[in-house]
Amino acid sequence: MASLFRAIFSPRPSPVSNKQAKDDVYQTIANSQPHNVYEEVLFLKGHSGPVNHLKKINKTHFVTGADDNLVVVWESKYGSMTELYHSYHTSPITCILPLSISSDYSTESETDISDHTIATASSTELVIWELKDIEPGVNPKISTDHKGVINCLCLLRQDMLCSGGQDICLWDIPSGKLLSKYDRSQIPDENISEIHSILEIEGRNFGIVAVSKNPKPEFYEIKKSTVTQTVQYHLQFNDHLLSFHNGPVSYLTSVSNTLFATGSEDGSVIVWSINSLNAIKRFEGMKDDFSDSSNSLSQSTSSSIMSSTIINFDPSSRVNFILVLCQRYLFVAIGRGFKVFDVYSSDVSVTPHELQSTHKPLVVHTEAHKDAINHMEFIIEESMLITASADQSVRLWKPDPSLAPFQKKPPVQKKEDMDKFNVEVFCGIHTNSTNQRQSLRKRRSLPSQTTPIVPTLVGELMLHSDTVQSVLFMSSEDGLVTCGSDNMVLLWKNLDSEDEKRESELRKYLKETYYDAVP
Amino acid sequence: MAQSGTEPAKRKERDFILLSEFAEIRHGPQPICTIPDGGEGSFDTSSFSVRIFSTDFQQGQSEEFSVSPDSQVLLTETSDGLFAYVHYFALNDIEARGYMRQYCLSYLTASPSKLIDSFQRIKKDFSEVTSLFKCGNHKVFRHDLNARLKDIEFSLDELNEDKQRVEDNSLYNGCYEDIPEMNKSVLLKDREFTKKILDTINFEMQSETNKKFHELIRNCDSNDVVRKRGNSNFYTTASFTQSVHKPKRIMAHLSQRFTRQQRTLNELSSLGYQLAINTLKSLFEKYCRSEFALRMEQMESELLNPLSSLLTVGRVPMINVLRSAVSPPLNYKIISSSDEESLFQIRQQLKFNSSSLLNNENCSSVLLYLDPLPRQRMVSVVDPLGTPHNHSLMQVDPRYSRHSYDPRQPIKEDPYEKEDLEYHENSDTNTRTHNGIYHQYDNDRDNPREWEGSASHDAHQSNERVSSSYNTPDPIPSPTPDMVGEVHPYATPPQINHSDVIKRLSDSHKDQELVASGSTKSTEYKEPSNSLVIGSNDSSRSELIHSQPQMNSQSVPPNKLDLHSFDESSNTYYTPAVPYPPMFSGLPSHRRASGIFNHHEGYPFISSVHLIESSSPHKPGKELVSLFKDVPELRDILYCLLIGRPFAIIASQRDEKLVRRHIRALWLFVAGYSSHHQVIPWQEEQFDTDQLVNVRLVGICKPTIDRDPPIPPHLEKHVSYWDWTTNILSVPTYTGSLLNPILTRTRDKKNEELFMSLIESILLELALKAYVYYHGHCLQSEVIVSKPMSPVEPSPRKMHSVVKKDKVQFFSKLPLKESDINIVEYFTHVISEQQLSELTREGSYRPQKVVLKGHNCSTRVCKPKRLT
Repeated sequence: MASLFRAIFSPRPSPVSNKQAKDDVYQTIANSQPHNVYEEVLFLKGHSGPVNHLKKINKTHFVTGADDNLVVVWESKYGSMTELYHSYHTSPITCILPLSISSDYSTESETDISDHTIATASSTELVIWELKDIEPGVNPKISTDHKGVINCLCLLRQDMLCSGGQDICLWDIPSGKLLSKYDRSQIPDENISEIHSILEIEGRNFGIVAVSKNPKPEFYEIKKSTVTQTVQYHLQFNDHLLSFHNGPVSYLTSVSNTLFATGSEDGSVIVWSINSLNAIKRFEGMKDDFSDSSNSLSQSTSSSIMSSTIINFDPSSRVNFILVLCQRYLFVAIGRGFKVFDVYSSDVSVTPHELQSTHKPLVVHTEAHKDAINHMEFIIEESMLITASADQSVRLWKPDPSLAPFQKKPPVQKKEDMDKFNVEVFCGIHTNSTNQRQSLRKRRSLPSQTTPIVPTLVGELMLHSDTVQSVLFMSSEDGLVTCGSDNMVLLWKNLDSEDEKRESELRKYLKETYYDAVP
Repeated sequence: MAQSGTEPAKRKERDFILLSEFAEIRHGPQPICTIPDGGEGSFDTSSFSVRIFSTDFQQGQSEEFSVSPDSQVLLTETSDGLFAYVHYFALNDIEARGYMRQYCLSYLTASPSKLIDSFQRIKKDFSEVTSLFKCGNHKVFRHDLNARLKDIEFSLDELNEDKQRVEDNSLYNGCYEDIPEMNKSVLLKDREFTKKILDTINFEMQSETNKKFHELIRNCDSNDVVRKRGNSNFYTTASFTQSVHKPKRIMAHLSQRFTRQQRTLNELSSLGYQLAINTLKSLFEKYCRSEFALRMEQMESELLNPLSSLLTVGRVPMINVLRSAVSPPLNYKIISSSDEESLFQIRQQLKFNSSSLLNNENCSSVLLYLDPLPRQRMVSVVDPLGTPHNHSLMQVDPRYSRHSYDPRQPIKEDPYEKEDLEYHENSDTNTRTHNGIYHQYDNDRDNPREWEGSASHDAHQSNERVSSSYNTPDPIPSPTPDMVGEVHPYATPPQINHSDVIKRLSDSHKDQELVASGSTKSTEYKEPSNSLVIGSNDSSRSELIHSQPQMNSQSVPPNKLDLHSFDESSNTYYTPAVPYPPMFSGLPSHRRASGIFNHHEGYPFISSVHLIESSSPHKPGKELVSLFKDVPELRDILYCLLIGRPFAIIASQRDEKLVRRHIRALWLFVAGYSSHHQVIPWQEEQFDTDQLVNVRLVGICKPTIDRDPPIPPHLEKHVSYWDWTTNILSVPTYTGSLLNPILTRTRDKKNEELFMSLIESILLELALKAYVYYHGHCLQSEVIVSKPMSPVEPSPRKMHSVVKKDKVQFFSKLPLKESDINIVEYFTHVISEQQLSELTREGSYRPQKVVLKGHNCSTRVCKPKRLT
C-alpha cells in the first residue's frame, strides 16, 4: 500500500533537473550534416497500412508486417520486394518472428533465405511459413486455436514456439500443431490482462516469463512428460516472481544467459536473475539525482498495484524499449529520451555483490526527441545510436566530441571485444584521460565521480510523415531500414558508397556495351 | 550543282515552298500552292513552274507499268536571286496519259548554302512528304482500277448478252458481227493490263517503306475529314469505301474525250494530301530558319544518341558524355563579325569544339593530369577518350534508335510541347489523352490561313531578329583548350526596341491567359492551347507538367497505351528512364514487371537555337529577365535548381498566373528529362513525399483557411521554397563563382535572347565540367578498400573519407569549388541515373529513390516582381 500511496500522491519527478537541462535540452541540427552518411533514400512501397513490425531475417533480407494484413519480405541491396509475401491474415499483423535467424550475418551464405521460416500473428491467427514454400498452392501452417488476440511470439528450444495473448500456447514448429495451451483465466488475479511479451528462460526450471499490463511478471514452467511413448508438454503457472515495479511492465528482454530485464511505465528497469527469478537491480529511469538507489529495491505486492485501474503514468516516463548490447549495457528508451545503464559495475570484474551497487546511467539524454522514442538501434562499427520516434524523425547520436580522442583502440582481438569497445566508446567509458574527465565534470558541475555523458546529435533522418515505429540496421553496405505509421518503409543508404557502386556498375556496363563491342 | 559565278542579290522575302503540277490538259506546268500562303511575294511561280517542268520526267520506255521513283535537283541559277531544291514525284491517275501525273515540290530560298548543307535532310523530309502523297494516291488509284475491272467485266458480260441477243434475233444479217469481237478483244487486253497494274500497286502498298505511311493514313479518321469537308466535291477514301461502284459499259470502239477537268491533287491523294500539306507546313517552319540554326540543330540532334548519356538542362541538350561530339571548325570569320547571330554561333560552336577537345588525343594528357590516381587503373575501366573506338560511339545503338531525333518534331512552334500531328489533325474531338496528358486543340488547325497567322508569324519574327544587328562586341579570344567552359564576354548589350519586347510579352501573356482559361473557341489559330495540360478535364485541376516525358503517340495511340505504365494516382506515364513504380501493392514485382516497356516514348527536346530565337510564350526561361530583374537572390534560386533540390513557389490563388510565369522562367534550369525532373506550374495539393522524388520545381497554392501546410513538416528540410504570402525565401546560399555572371549581367540586361545565350554558356561550362568529372573521376577512380583481416567490417566512414578525399583532389584540379562542385556532381548524378535506368530497363523492379543532400538554407525576405 505504501507503494501505491507513493505512486498516487507523490508529485511526479521532473524528467530533467535544472542542472542537467543545460546540457540535455532538445537539440536541433542544421540541414548540412557532415556525419550523416544516409543521404539516399529508397521508398519501398508495398504496404497500404501502418507498418508496425520490422525484423531482420539475414544479412540482406528483412520482413515487414502492417495493418494491411500483409507480410512482405524485402531484400536490402536494391530495396526490392521479393516474391515472398503473403496475405493469409485477415486482420492487422500483431507480431512477426523470424524463426531461423542467425546471430552472425557476416558470412555470404547468409544472403539466402530459402531455408528460413517466419511466424506471423494477427488476431487469433498464427501462420508459420517456410520461405521456400511460398508458391501458389502451397499453404502455410495456419492455426486459429488462440482464444484472443496473439500479441507476442517467442522461439523456444526444441523447435517450439510460444505465443501469448489472452492465453498462452505452445506450438511445434515443424508440424504446426498445438502442444499445450494455458488458459490464464485460471490465475487467481482479478486484474489479469493480456500477455504482450514473452521470454524463454532456463534456470532451475525451463519455462517462460510473460509480462502483461501488470507490474508483476509471470513465470510459466514448461513440463515435459511421456505418455504412451508420446511426448507431451504442459504449461504450469508458477507464482515465483515478485513485483518490484510501481507500474505496468511495458517491456521485457533478455540480457544474458543469466539475466533478463523488464521495463515499466513508471520508468523503472528491473534486472532479474534467471536462476533465482529474483530482482537483483533496479534502475530508476526518472531519477535525476543519481543517488544510490540500491536500497529502494523493495517488493511491492501485485495486489497493491492495480495497473489498469488506478494509476495513469506519465507517458514521458514510460520505458518503451530496451536495447541490450554486449550482454551488459542497457540502452533504455524512456519517454522522449534515453539512458544507458551498465548492469555491472563500470570496469570491475563482475560479481553478484557488485550487481547491487551501480545504478547510475552512463549516458543520459532525456529530451532526445519531441515525442516518445519507439525503437533504438546501435551501429557498433560506428559507435552510433539510432533512435526512432513518434515525432516522425530518426536521429543519429554519437559520443560527445569533447571527449575525443578516445583511448586508443586495443589491438584487434575478437569481434566481441571490438564490439564491446565501440559500445563503451559511446558510453564514454574509454575517456580515461584524467583531464578530460575533470573538464567534463567541471563543465557539468556535477559532484559524482561517474558523470553521465550526453551524446551529440549528428544526424536527423526526416522523411516519415507519421510515427516511426521501428529502425533496423542491415549492414554498412545496405544501410538502415525504417518503417512507420505512414505506410512507408524507407531504406536509407550511404550516398557515397552507393555512388561508388553505381560507378562500378556503369564501368562494367559501358565496357561491355561500347568498348568490348569494338572489333 | 555549282553555284553561279556572281551571287544574286539577296531576296528580302523569306523562303517558301512551291507545289507545282504538269497539267496535261489545257494548262501545262502551273503552280498549285505556296507555303506559306502568299509566301512567294513577287516571285513568278508560273514561269518557275514552266522552267522546272521543262525537263520531261518520264519513267523509261518500258511497256510495263511501274511506280516512278522521285528525283531531286538543286537549282542555283534562278533569275530572282532564289535558289531551289526541286523534288519531282509522280502520282497515278487512271484518266491520265500513261496513268501518270507529274508534280514537283520546290523549296526556294535566297541562301544557297542552306540547301547545300541541308540537302540530305531536305531530301529525306521531302521524300516523306511525297510518300504521303503517293500512299494516299495508291488507295485512290487502286480503287479506280478495281472499278475499271468491274466495268470491263460488266462490259464483257454485256457484249456476250448482246451477241446472244443478236444471234437469237431473226433479223440477223451478219453485218455487225465484227464490232463486238473487236470490243471484246480490246477489253480482254485491257483487263489483263489493269490486273497487272493492280498487282504492282498492291505490291507497292505492302512494301516495308510505305507501310508506316499507310498506317498513318489508315489511322486518320476519315469520317472526320468527310464531315469537315462536307461541301467539297473531293474524292476521299471514305467516299471510296462507302460508295458502291455501279459498273458501266465501256465502249472500246469509241474514242475517249477529255472534256472534263482533271482531278486535283487533293482528289488524287485523298487523305494523304492533308497529311502531306501539314507536314510541308511544318517543314517550312523548320527550314525557313537561319542556316546556322539548322546546322546547330542538326549537330544537337546527333547529341541525342545514346539518349541515356545525354545531359539536358531546361530540356536543351547540353552534352552527351558518350558521344563523340560533332565539331565543325570554328568559323573565325564569324568572330570578326559583330551581330548577335554571330556571337551566338560562336558560343554554340564552342559547345562542340569543347566536346571535341575531350575526344582528341591531347585530351589523354588532360585527363591524366586531372586523374590523381595511378594511370594503370584506367586499364580496367572505360577509356573516355577512346580515340580508336570513336567510331563505335558514333554508331547508332539500335536500342536507342527509337529515340532518334525526329526532325519533324521541332517544326512545331514549341517542340517541347510535342504533339502528334497526324492524330491531332483527324481526331474526332479536341481533347485527347497524350501520355496521360489531356490536350486541347483547335479543330480548325488545318485551315491554312489560320495556320499562317500563327506559326509563320513567329518564324517571321524570328527572321527579323536574326537579321537585326547589334553593336560591335568585345574582342573574342580564340578558343583554346584552356578556354573550355570559360565564359567569354561575347557582346555588349545590344540596342533593342523596348516597345517590341513589351508587345511580344503582351502577346505571350494573351496566349497564356487563353491557356489558363482553357479556351478552345477562337476565330484565330492559337497554339495548342496548352499541349502540356495534364490531369483531369476539370480546368480547376488541370496542370502543366513541363518536363514530363511525353509519349510518341504516332506509334502508341492513346487508346492503346500500356496501362501498366500508367500511374492512376498521379495521372502520369513512366518512362523507361525511370524505375517502374509499384501500382498494385501486395503483388510481387515479377508479376507487375511484365510488358511494361513494350511501348516506346519520345522525348521532346529543344534546340538551343530554337530556345533562344523563339518568341514562344511556352518556352523554358521565358520572361526570366523581366521577372527576376530586381531579385538578387536569383543566383541562389538557380543554384537550388541546379543541384536538383526541389523548389516550391507558394502563393495564394490570386497569384496563380504570376506563379506560372515564374515557374516557366525557372524551368530553364531544371536538369534532366525523365519523370524524375518534373516541373509543375501550379497545384492546389500539398507537396507530398512522392513529389520529392519526381518534382524539381513546383508552384503551390497556399490555402487561405488553415489546412495542411503547403510543405509538410517532415519535408521542410528537403524542399526550398519562396513563400509569396510572407515574402520569405529559403534557399541554400550559392558560394561558387560560375553563376556570378548571371547576377551581374542581369543588372544591365536589355535583351532576353542575349541573356539566355549567356545562361546557355554558363550551363554549358558546368556541363563540360560534368563531362570531365564523369570520365576523369566517376568512370576511372576506384576506391580500393582491402578486405580487413579482422572480422570487423570496414567502416563506411572510412570508405566515405577515401572517396571524399579523391573528389576534393579532382575538383581542385578542374578547378571547381564549393557550390559549383555540387552542381557538377548533380549533373553527373543525373547522367549516371539515366544510364543505370537504361541498364536495368529489362531488370527487376527497383524502388523510387531520392537523394537528400543536406544543404543549409538561409532564410531572407524577398518579394516577387509583379509585372503589370
